[in-house]
Amino acid sequence: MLVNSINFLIFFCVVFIVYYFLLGNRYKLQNLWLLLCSYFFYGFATLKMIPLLLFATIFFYIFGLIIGKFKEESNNRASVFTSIGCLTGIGLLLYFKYLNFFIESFSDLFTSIGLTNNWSIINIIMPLGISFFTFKLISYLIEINRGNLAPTKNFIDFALYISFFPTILSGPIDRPKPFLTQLTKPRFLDFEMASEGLKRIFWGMFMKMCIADRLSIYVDAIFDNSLHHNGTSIAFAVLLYPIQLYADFAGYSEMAIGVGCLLGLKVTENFKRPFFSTNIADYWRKWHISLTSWLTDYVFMPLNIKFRELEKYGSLLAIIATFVLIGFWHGAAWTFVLFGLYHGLLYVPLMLSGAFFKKNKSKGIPTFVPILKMIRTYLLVAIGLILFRSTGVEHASSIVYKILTDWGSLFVDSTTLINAIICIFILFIKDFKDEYMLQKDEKNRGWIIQYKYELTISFYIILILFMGVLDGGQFIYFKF
Amino acid sequence: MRKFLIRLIIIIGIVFILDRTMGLVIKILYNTATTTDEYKLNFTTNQMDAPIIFMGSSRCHHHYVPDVLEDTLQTKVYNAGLWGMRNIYFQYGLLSNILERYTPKTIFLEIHPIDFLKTPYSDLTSVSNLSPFVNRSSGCDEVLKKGKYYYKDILSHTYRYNSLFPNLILGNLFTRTNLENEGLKPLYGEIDKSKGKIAPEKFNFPVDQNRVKYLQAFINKCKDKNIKLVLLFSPMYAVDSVDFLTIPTILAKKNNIDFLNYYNLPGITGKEEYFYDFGHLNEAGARKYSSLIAGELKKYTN
Repeated sequence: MLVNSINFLIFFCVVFIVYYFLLGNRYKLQNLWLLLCSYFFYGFATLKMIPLLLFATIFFYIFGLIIGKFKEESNNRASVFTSIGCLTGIGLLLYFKYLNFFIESFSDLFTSIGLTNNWSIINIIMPLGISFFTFKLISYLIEINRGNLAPTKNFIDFALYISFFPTILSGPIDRPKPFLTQLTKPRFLDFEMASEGLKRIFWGMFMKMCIADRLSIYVDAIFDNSLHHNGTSIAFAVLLYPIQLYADFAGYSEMAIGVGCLLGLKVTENFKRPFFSTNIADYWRKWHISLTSWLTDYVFMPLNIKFRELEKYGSLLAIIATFVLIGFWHGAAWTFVLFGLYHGLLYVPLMLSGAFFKKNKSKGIPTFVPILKMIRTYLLVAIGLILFRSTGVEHASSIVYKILTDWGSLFVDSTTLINAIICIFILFIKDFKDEYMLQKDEKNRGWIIQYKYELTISFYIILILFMGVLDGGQFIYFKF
Repeated sequence: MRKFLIRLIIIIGIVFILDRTMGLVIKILYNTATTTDEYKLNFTTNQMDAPIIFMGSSRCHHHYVPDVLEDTLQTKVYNAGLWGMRNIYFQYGLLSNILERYTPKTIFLEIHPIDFLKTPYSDLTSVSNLSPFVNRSSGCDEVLKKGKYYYKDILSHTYRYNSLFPNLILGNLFTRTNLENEGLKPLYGEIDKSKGKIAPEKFNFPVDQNRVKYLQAFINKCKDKNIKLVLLFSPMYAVDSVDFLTIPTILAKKNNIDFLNYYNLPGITGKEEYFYDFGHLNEAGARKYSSLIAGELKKYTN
């Protein structure tokens, strides 16, 4: 069930009506209802994986209680159980997502050194959203062990935190404390929050349907048939891909956050206009924030402490390791490992020059030099995404080779590109306004401001009807 | 809650008004376009009155030169072909719309494997351009329903013109050439052989019974209106010994209509000066081809 489909609209209307009209302020029943709906939603996508989700939830719930108990007693076994729990979570990921990758890689390695083997890949169906919900499960245990969170005794709340339907398939990866706290309070329909939610849903739909799905027509045509296209067209597709990916993933996140708002639940922000970044560190502070902050807290920081004797080289090592993990998190392929390594290596000059530690404080409209830096960052990101988008290392290298050697006339699909350019311009204006323009006091500023939500949402809907790809494909991040 | 529901109702109201207003404005732009596909589709549906028409996809659009054909056929000819993999679903919807207004004497349908094979590059999305003509004819509505456009088109007048904005602007800014007045879109340039030998195009796809059904429905519609229908297949640059045109051959025989197969036409096939690419004739090739076949087509126009 795509979030931007009629099926989802019908599903959500039922969820919404029961949630507010029938259950009112009985928040425990609201939680139970949301949990049932979340399992229905997940089952609709992948029914066979419901037992796995349920089993993992029960297991981590019990572990949470055990760790909490040991923690209360200041018993060292809390850490042991946390480690077992985390390893179980990682084991789930390794089995379902990476096992075949390891089998293939080791088989290839042994073959290449002359050792014969008859290993073959196993038929495993990867559960949708596994990369997202296992990270939630793991962070829950770590937070309890760190003493930042008391384990919840309410299984329904915990199960809802793990399976909350707007976020289970593609994130954002919510942290347990802020989310679980919200579940312990009654939730009424807040006019401002719900209106904001509605606005964000339609803005997300605009990003997905008018930009991502439109650009995918061109970008997919080039990447999937790169043998038949010259370097100029491939280079152009490479330049467009970061915008497609941003519109696709940020669009989904906007919709998830919007649905959360309509249900009175705040979901973690996931993007903060990443293409206005002046260096790669700045970019990663604004791109897939929930993942990068997760890995910063649970991987980078512990590693950084472990390597602190090596001073800034230790930090560098920790960063590179974290980025290789970020890359690998995206998929079981060497291209993703290299993608992570590439980004990790981009931090080397930043760390050595000290630019990494300087935060960009300037909030004014950017001048010439920052604009050049933004372009440089964008180009670096686009180059890295060749690995991300390619089907394999060979494909990626053939793309780079073509870009460098085979120049010719540009393949132009004018209808697709003009439609996309108009919508990208609208996205740019909005992001620019959000990034650089101060929010003005909106009180007493006439009827337009009073009806700003109605007018904005109507504008988005008309844009989607006029320029959107209504039968577009799946979200890119669903496969992760 | 009440306030929020009122807000939702206001949004629905604004969207409705905006949608209808936008739909009206774009419809005007659609009708005033003087070039691009939108103009041609609109003209074909609403104004074309030639007794002889050629229908089909890009290979029709670029291959049949009306003024050359008119010299021999001695009657008005219009090339109603449209580029962009317009398969039989689209042709059926278009024919249904045309027949609501007038009945041509003869239709030459340039057939292509996309009309009867399950090709991945041409599917039901090809009917989306018929959206501005929703409710024009039952045949058009039928294919729009099959393509899942119909109810969206009924609900939103703006959606009928989805993605057409660039074309409508261009269509209102530029004027068409004389050749385009009769529907032809000639291609200029020669086939590029610098990347090696050009192999015959392969059509290793299974038969699509749904498309065959619509091909038969197209034939039936012509029979019902006493229109002489002839199936055509124009030349390719490189040819294969594999026969991928069995379905039109069988259908033609079954329905007692002619299928003129010029896939391998001596004097054109294999001659690079007549081809724009492996499947399309250039302007010189189209003229040569039209003059070569005009005599044979004459017997279908009397």
